[in-house]
Amino acid sequence: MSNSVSNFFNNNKRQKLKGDSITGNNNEDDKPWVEKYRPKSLNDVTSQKHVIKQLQSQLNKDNLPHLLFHGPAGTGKTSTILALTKQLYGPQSSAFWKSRVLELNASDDRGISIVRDKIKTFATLTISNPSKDDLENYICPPFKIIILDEADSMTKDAQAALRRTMELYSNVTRFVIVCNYVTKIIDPLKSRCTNIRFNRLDNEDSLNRLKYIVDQEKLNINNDEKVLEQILKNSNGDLRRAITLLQSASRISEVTSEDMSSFLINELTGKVDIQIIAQYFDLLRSKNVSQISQFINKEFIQKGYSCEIVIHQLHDYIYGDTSNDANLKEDDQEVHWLFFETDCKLVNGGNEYIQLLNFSLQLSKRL
Amino acid sequence: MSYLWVDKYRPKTLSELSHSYDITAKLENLSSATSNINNIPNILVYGPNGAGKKTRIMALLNRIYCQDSNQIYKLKIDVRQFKINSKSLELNVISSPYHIEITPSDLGFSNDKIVIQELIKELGSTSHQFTPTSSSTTGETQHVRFKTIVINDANKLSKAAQHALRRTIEKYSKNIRIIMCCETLSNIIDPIRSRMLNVRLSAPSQPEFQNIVKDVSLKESVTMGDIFINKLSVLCRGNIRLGLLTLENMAVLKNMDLSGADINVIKPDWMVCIDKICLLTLKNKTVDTVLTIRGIFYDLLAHCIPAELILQKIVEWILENAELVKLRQDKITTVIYYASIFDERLKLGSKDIFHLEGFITKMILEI
Repeated sequence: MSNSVSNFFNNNKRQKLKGDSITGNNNEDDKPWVEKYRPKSLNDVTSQKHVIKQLQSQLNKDNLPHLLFHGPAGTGKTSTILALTKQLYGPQSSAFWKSRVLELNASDDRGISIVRDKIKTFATLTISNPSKDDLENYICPPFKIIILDEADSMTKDAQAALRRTMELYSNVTRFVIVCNYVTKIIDPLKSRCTNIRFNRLDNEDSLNRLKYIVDQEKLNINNDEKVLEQILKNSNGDLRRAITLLQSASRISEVTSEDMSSFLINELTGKVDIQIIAQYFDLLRSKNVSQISQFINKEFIQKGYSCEIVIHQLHDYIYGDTSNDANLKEDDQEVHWLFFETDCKLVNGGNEYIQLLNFSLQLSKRL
Repeated sequence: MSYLWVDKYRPKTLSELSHSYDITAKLENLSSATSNINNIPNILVYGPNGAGKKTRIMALLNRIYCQDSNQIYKLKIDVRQFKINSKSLELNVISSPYHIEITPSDLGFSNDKIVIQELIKELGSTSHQFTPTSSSTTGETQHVRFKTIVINDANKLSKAAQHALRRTIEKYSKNIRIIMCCETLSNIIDPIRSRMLNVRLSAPSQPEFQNIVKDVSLKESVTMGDIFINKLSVLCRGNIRLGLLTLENMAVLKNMDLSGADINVIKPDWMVCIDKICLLTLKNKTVDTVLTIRGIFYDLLAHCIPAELILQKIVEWILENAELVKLRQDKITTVIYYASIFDERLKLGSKDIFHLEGFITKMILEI
């Protein structure tokens, strides 16, 4: 049986990744750190304690319900499920893992036809027999797992087509649906799965993870505590973003022998220097239209800063940061409305220059 | 062969680049021999028009693949066909042996996803190996194990296409690198931003801009005075492409002599039209004016001037000439407020002319 399963997989897209096997595992260094430091087992997952506890207890019972993971980006949803499968079936590159796990994400076409053919074919397959080695080292429960990553981009129709499939083959297959917004998943699917919410990571956990990576990579950072905190602050609880940021920053500082500083981190995320924001805010108070427009043109537009980030930072400056004398009234509805409206217009694809200009002038009128 | 000056004097290697030296230094370090060349991250370059984003990218690739031997500039243009259902789509692909360059937004909003998926999977599923054609003295040359995909106008990619990129970037990271090039970060979704090294490119400052223009005019033996160059830099606002094109135009018109004291920089025709529109709205506030302006708008649109740009230029004109025509500050604020509204409508709606006219009528009423 296992033979026919691997035959099936030879025709499968996953195996087309020949490049992977040619270059082999020897260049682990080429991998992005996000991939390199993905947790290998559930115990490695440092945060989301409630989730891990729940999954561990399920594992001990040798059974797993259908799962629905939801939560913001970079909180470890994909990492957790991959770690789980690694614990169940061994390393990701092994044939056994590949015969038991089907991972589909938004880059694979997931129209209704895929659900009907690919997912259904995989779901109906009899489970492959683990080798003796596998049995000794891994749990090898008697079911396959289908991971639908980034499921919020699946169409309603495709989701509907999944409903019956999930039930019919539940003796041999478990589904894990991973998404950011649980509202994009249709109710019938939600009710068939155990819903697990991933919270935003708290700073301590992320900081520890970053420190672990810094140790492993033997990075030399002056004043690392402060720099790492800056990284976390700029990535808003998104650990993946933080790790990518750390990698980019370390690579740049490695070759330029430039110190890894808060300044470098800011530059990498496209944030404006806080001094400039302060200057900008003071200028808004002066209510001088021509000066404001010149400032915007010179400091933001020509320097290529993204208008969205400028507005975001100004918001933080006014409401989040207590060390300055911005003290706007917290309950000034019109100003809040202004932030909302400008953001909305930008998301709709508005012209950066016009929108930022309008925002500034309207805000300065109300200061 | 005769080139436009813009192309003739386009820097071809990293060392020839003439402004934003800190960024050049960063790119140089990324691709320097001491670092592992296969460690280069995916890159997202953003910055205003004509700041040299593309030039920089090509120079970087030239360094990576050909050690500045300019092989990368041997480009050929193919037309690739993609099949969606029964429709087939055509996309222009510019390629060299080392990289390909695509503008997926050419295909329209709903189709770009397919291109991204097909093309990247195709390139990503085979492994590549390039030996840099080096004349360098260092004994060991590093093999470059990836092909590069340059995506233009990345901010015009649909959300679906960007989602499709997410995992693909990580999955195929051994065989391909992606370099995206866009004017603003606002429309790029967070997961993409966090996966790429963000490089912000500012427009050159006035002195830098003037140096570039002076340099070119020296090589082409154009004589010119300070008056001309000052006027030119005011007109172009750091847009090097526009600057050099205008310089060439003027030089040919005036027989290579631009030193006269009374010289005026010739604006492009469409900018003259915009001046005319603004003057008309200020002078006669009648229904007839709206009709006349409608004619001009139709003309501009027929010549492929984007409506967004028209709106932006009108706003810029108002700001620049506010004192000349004695506009009060609060009136300017109102005009810009309406500009921001109609700017959003332009994006949401489909008939540009309605929104432009709506704006002009509002402007006539308000001023």
